[in-house]
Amino acid sequence: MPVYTIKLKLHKPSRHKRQIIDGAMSNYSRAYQYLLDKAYIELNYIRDNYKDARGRYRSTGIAKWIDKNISKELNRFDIEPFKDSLKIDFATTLAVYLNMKESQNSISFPAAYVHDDELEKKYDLLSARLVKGQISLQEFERELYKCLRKNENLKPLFFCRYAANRNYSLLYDPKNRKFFAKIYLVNAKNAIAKSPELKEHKKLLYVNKERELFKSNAAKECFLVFPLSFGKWQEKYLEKAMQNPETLKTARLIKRADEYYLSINIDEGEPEKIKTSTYIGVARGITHAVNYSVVDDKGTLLLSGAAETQNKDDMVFENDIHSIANTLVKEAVVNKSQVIMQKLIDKGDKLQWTENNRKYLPILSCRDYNNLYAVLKYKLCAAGLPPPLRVSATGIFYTCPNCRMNTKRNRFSSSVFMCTMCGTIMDVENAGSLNLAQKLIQYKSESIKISIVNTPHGLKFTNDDLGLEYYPSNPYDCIEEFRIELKRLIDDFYKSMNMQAKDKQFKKRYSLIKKLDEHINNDFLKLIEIIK
Amino acid sequence: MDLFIEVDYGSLNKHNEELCGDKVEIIRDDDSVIIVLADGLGSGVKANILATLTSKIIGTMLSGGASIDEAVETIVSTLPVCRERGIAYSTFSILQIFNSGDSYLVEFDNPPVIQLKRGKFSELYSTSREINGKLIRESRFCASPDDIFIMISDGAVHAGVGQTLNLGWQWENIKEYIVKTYKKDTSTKNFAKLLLSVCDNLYSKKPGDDTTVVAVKARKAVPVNIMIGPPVEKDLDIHVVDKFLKSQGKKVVCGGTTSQIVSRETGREIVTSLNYFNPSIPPTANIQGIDLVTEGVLTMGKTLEYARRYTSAESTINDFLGLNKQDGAAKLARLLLEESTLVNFFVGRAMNPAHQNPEFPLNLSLKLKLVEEMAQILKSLGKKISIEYF
Repeated sequence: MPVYTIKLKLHKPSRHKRQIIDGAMSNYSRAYQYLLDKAYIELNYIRDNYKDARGRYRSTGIAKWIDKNISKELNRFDIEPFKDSLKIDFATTLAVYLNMKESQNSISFPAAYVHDDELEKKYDLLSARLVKGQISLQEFERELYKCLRKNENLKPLFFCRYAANRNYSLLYDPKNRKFFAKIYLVNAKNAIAKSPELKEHKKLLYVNKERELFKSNAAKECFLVFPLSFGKWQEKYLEKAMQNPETLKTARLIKRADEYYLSINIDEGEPEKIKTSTYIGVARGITHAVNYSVVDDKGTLLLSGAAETQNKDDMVFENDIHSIANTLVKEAVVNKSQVIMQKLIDKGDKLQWTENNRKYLPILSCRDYNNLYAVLKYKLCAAGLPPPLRVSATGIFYTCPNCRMNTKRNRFSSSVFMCTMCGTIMDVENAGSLNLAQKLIQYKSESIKISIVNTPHGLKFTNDDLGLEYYPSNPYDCIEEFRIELKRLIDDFYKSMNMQAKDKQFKKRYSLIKKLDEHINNDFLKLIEIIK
Repeated sequence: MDLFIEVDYGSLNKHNEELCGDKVEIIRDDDSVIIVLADGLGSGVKANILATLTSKIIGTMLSGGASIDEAVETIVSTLPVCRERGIAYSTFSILQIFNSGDSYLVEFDNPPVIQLKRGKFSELYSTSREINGKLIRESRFCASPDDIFIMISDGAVHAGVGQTLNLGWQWENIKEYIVKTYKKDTSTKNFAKLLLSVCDNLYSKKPGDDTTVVAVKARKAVPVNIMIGPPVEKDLDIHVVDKFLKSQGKKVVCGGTTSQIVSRETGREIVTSLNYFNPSIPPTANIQGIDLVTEGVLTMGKTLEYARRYTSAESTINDFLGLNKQDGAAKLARLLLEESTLVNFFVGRAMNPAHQNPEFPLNLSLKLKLVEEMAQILKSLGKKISIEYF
């Protein structure tokens, strides 16, 4: 389900409007922090009582912690127009924190906003702890910086629904072809006197199914209407939203550098699925940011290419990552390819090279490459392709795509690959992407190794990964018996699959069982390699 | 020390040229091997004539006992003069290795010969002198078992210039590559094919110059004895097995009945190997004291296929990699083509009842043909062959 975010600028809001938005943001931030503070006190209770059946924390579950009493208390912050949104916003934050806390103990409790008074108190407290030696100077500075940031930046306003009579909605002026945002910012008590400009907008239409005419009859209103400014990219999505208003989902009102932006999430729904028939390997490089190779289902190279960063210096910007991702998505769509990427998490790819005292480093750092993976993950899904697969990067720049010889000696220089087994010459980066592209095919054709051990009870066929221990009644004529034994192993595995899921060996065993299962009724012997 | 000198070579023609301007001549006699690599001026027919004349003249004269001075003098006065350049020119390298290991190397304008000793580069010290206005480098040294000598024409050092590699695959690079790829059991054919494959790839399959690689390896003699088929007379079984077992070197038994005979006469058990499942090649077995036990004609037929591909001029590096497979035929091919220096065939001529089946693809005469063809191929590789029929 691809969700796009479009950012629309509130066009020159008056000082009065700015004050109202700032006030709403301040209220929202304080209310949000109030909930966080309260939750911190009751954290153990929440942790114990708001887990779902699978042991995970969900925003819908955590939101139930905000009962009638807490909800009533929130009214003192004048945040009635955002109460539902606030609950969801807060519950999501807390659920993420609790889930992350399960795996990373060092994660600190979230903070949304530190009020001036609170900032002073926090400063005193931190100073006292520093003097007593309870925290280091580094920790003191870090905490203080965090508080200062939270004091300066107000929490963006969250709108959990698109609606004409609450939260936010878009209005369209067909005469001038302009868009406006109608945003509910205050409660009834603080309703705003209708501005004269509203009277001018006599022919604004709601961007919704009914295309109702926007009317404002009351003397005071809880919302404000803002003209919007945006670029062509955003305009494209707004035009689509005109045709299909259901795609408009949640939004956030953000303040950045004294400007206000409405950031709207647009859900375009499920794209048409593309059935993949080729593989595209994407490797990072020294000469090019990334190299890609497309192979068919036999592993034959169909095409290769490279994607570059915009600027030639060392810096890689977010725009570069998106531009590279777009190139790759385009190639993957044209070639109907499954994208295969390097797994650069715990092991490196040893791409960097030193020659004549000069160090050649990859253009994309591991972090940049992992960002590219994250971007591709949603861009490919949005294009109807499966997400990229990550495979081990070990040896991809040192393994010959032709004969599979893997040795460091295969690398001739920073850029030239020269196989010491078969003499294949190619660009190192191309070798990397080609090896990645061939990984799945290679994996599929890899044999399952069965060792034969001579025991006092006769020959024993074993494979620890499969959990196989089989004594053939006649080792010289045992193919059918062996097939039956393997079938039994497969059936047993599927029956107890859920129980084994937490086993360290599970993934490996599962993949072997799947592979065997595909071939067990016909050519299973092709899969088996007998070793001593 | 009695050395066997294994030699192999390969050439790439300059792109769009029918003939190669490099020529290799190998002259074997009982005492030594003389290898001549000549590189004619220019390319195509003209270069081919120059190189052929040079290599033939040198080879014939040296093997006939003439000195290098006489050979060079003859070349200078015999070679046709190029109309464009007004010179008669062909560079050459001559390597003569005696069975004792004593060696003599003469080089004129070719890239220096690369010598590896135990896998490490070893420089060949040479002296220079002028013969008929040509500056010749000469080296005398002693070759030891497993020494490798690589002779290359200048097409190899120009490979990849301005394409894959800016400065080409320089002599130092080639030297380093050979050291990197060295394995004790790598055959000369493999070396020559591998280096040519690299050059071809560096030239992007369009060689800019004629390129030749000659690989020479000094080896200790490795006799291989193959017993294939049961003798016609059953009474001869014990005699043949005894002779086979007493012969020096590695031993291979091919054929189910043959291995049963060996097992029966020696009292050693046959254990079928479960190592390999390949429907087209029957599995191997083990008999204590025998290096390889395979099925008979099917395996020999497949081995011959490997050998044909191995020696074919069109063979690629992948044909060599095929020998690394673990089936009986690949193992036998590796033993015969890459390890052996002398092969003794013990061929039994008894009719196998299984071969009487009209649907069976092979018969006795075909089996004998297989052995003979295999012997021919091995001879062409410079190996000594003997065939005894029983």
